[in-house]
Formats: sequence, structure tokens, C-alpha cells
Amino acid sequence: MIENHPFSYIYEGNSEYCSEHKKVYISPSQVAESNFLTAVYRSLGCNYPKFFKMDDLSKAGFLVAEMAIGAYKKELDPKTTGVVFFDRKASLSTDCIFAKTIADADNFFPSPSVFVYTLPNIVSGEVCIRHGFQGESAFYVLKEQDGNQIQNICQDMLVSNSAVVCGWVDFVAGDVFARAEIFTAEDFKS
Amino acid sequence: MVEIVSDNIISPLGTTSEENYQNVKAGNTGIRTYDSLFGIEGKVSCSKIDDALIKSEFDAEVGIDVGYTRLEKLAMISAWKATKAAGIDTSSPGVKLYLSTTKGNVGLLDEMDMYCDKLFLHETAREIAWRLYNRTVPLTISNACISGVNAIIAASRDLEAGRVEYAVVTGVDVLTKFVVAGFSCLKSLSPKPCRPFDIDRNGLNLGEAAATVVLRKSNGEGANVHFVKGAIRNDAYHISSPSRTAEGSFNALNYIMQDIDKEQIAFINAHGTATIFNDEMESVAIDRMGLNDVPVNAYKGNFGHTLGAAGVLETIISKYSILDNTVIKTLGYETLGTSRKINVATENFSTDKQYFVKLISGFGGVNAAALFKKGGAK
Repeated sequence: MIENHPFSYIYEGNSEYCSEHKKVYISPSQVAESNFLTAVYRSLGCNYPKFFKMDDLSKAGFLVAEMAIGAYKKELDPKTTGVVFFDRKASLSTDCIFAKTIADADNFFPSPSVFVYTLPNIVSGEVCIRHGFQGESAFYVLKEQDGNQIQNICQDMLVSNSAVVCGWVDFVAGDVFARAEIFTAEDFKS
Repeated sequence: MVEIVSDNIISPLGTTSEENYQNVKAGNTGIRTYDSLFGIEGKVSCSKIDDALIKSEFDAEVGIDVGYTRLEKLAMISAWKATKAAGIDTSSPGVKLYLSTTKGNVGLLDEMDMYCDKLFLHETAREIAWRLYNRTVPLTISNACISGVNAIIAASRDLEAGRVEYAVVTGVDVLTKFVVAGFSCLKSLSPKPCRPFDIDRNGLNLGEAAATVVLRKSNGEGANVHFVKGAIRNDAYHISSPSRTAEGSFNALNYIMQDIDKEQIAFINAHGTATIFNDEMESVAIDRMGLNDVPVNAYKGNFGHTLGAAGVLETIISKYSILDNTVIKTLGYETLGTSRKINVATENFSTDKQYFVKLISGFGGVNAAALFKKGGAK
């Protein structure tokens, strides 16, 4: 990725989050009270009740996007701001939750509110809705956090988007890592 | 600009693009009505590929089965046939696979735990690439129902930037208990064959298919059909219902129509899933752009909604139709059932226009539009 480009992240492993080099630790009691993602949400002072309807992939992506956008110094034009997320496992953790609700014919209770989150790109959609971003939105699945591939996709989006919110989510239960940063065409001028 | 060098569709309507196109032109459908499919109560209409067909095609075209899944086999057959027709050496590092799929091997969740590699979409992509003797790291696009057009757009950008020489864009999804139960609980499924844009439409049919286009950079001349430009735009409205004002679809359409006159457009191939909300939204986008007179069609009555394959498959059918100077009718459509007046094609008819537009939308508020033209068209 572009060297020294500011990004925001959350990391459950150390119960920390960081926006523009300001690292904050969440206390074990805060995490124990709800869970890591909710603790970050509360600690950021967000007021967006829709957060609680989201699945964990969307929550993680939403939080880092919130932090990156909050720390961003320049104005973002919602009409032309795009959002792209990447991960390794698409929506597999929510897929498992949905699969359990349909496994047994005698206990068959598929829920529409779970099923919609079995599409990974919903995280990009959630960020667009939150900020009214009407640019390009997408989701790609990569085996590795391939900086070159991610950078190419963002750079290509910037041909018709004024800015791109770019996020990565590594979702392993108990060990969530997510990051987001904002690119504009200027970042790619050599 | 980027040209379509070769293509393939595997569906209930055939195992080549040409066969699929002739069946669509003849008004045939792969949709059948089933009772309690996957043990889910009630009638459901789907377009399902025969297992025996997959086996015979796989054995004849690809060979060596080392335990591939049904979905992998379909994608491999399609990618194999398309790349063979293109005459390209798929082992070259200049060749890259773009896999468009919404749910990949999700059907395996019944039998395996979530740490099985087969459940990772990037693993599915790697498996398909390796079967083509290709070692380039593939790109997997999972952007809901617009994945197929998204994949074509992403591939075109790589080609135009000179990052790759040939893009193999494969879209695939299969019917599983998972997707049937999911769309069923959303109340999106029609028990009967679907009726895009019709006043009596009441939902979509799911379908399975694999479709592949092989793309390369071009100067816009030559006989092949070209991808001119594409755009993806978000509604920023709702995760599962489209914008009432068709924000994203209109913005995407507006972007691709910048340098072209509507008189040059032979037809708009819409998403046309036959759900109340999707078709209504598309009519609003088309109306807002002032394209009310341009013929509109949808192929969901022929193939059902093939999810990750849809954008690629429908682009290919549209390609054959423009080369055949024909606009294809919308199977299942009789009477306009959208609030905006649009010109839905009820019969096949001939055209001498050179361009077509592909529209597609999906959950997450995503919308895409792409402009294609006959080679050499001005």
C-alpha cells in the first residue's frame, strides 16, 4: 500500500482501536459488558441505532469507516464518494448462522434479516447509507491483503469517484482486525 | 476499449453461447416448477442444470475430476470452452481469472465446518484457475447480483491499464437449499415462471448457470463486440430495497450515456428480475434518462436469476442478439406493470443499431450499467 498513508483500525486481539495514530485501549470490563465491536461503538460516541441490526462483518467495517471518515481533514462529496471493502472469507460467518436455521426440517426458521447479511457487499452498502455516498461501491474477496491489487482497484475507481473509502476486514471470532483509509487521486500522483 | 474475444454459457438451454442464444431467440425456457425443492415446502420454479449434463460435459471437455464440486465443474467447463475457443495459452502469466459469484460452494456448509477451504471464494477461484493451468492470482468479485457486470468492469480496467493481456471473466452460481430458503423467506420467489415488467409479476425464479467471456484490449475496430464503458453506483438508500427514485441505477446509466445518442441504442437489457420493486425501479431509471422509447428486454423468463452468472450470461446473449441484428422479446411479459412507461419488447424484431446497454442491480444498494457496441461502430 501507499507508504505512510493514514489509516484507522480496530483490533480485538489487543482491544485497541486507532484513528490517525491516536491509539485507544478498551478495558476488559467494557468488552465483557457487551462485546468488542459494541464497546468500540460506544467508546467512539456514535449514535446510529442501525448499527445493532448489522452482522459482525458490517459492524467491523462500519466502525473503521466511521473512524477514517471522522479523522479525514478534507470535505467528502457524497455524490461522488465510493466505498470498497475486501476480506478473505466473504460473509462466511453469517452464512454459518443462516445455515443453522435451515439445517433441520423440524426446526426451520430462516430469517430475512440474517439472510441479507449473507452478501458481503452489504458492509459497503451500510457505509454508503450512513453517509449518503452514491459513488461506486463494491466488495472483493482476496486470499491475502494484497496491497497492489487493492491499490489498483482504488486507483481505477478514482477515475469516476472523487474519493474512495477503502476497507479490509479480517474476521475471526475473538480476533477481529479491520482497517479503513480514504484515497483521492492525489494519493496516486507520483 | 475492450473486446469480447470468445464466450461460453452452460445452462439448461445449452452448452455453448450459440445454442443458448438460439433457444432464447426461439422463446424457450429452462424454468420448471418443482414441489418442495431441497425439502422446502411448497411449489417453486427454477432453472436447474441436469447433473448428467454436467458430468458428460466435464468428462468430454475438462477431464480429470479430483473431487471438484458441482459449481467448480460448471465454472471449469465454461472457462475451458471459452478459453479454448479464444485459442489462448491460459498458462501464460498475462492471463488472469475474474470469478464472479455470490455464494460459491455455500451448499457445502451442510456437510463441512467453516474452516473447510472449499468454502472460501478465493479458493474456488484458485481451483478454477489452476484447472486452466493458470497460476496468476485471480480476483473474486462478490458484489451481490451485479457481480458479473462488476467483474467485466474490473477486468476491463486491468486490461486498459496493461496489467493483464487476457481476462477470463467467469460468473457462476448454483441452486442450493441455502439460496432457495433465503430468497423464499424474503418472499422474493414466484411459484410460477416469472414475468418481468408485467402487471402480474410476483417475484423471481432462481436459476443456475456458468458463463465466461474472454476479454482483451482493443482499438475499437474489428468484428468483435466491444465493452465501451461501465459504471457502478450506490443508492445510499437501503440494504435490501432499491431506491424509489432509482438513484444508483440512474447515475450509472447517466454516466455511460454521456457521449452517446439514445438513437444509437438497439436495446436496454435490464435486470428485470420480475420482483415488484426491482422492475419498478428500473422503469424509473429508464424514464429519468428519457429512454422511454428505447426497447427494453430481460432474459429472466429464459434463465431465471442466475445471481453471480447473470451479468456475464446476459451480456453474452445480448452480444449474439446484436450480431444477429435482432432485439429479443421478454419472455413472460404481456402488459406493462410499472409506474413509468417504458418500451418492453414483446416480440423479436430486427434492428440496425449498433449499441446495447446492460443494466443490473442488487442488494447492498448496488447498481451497474455497461455500454457495448458492435466492432467498428461509430
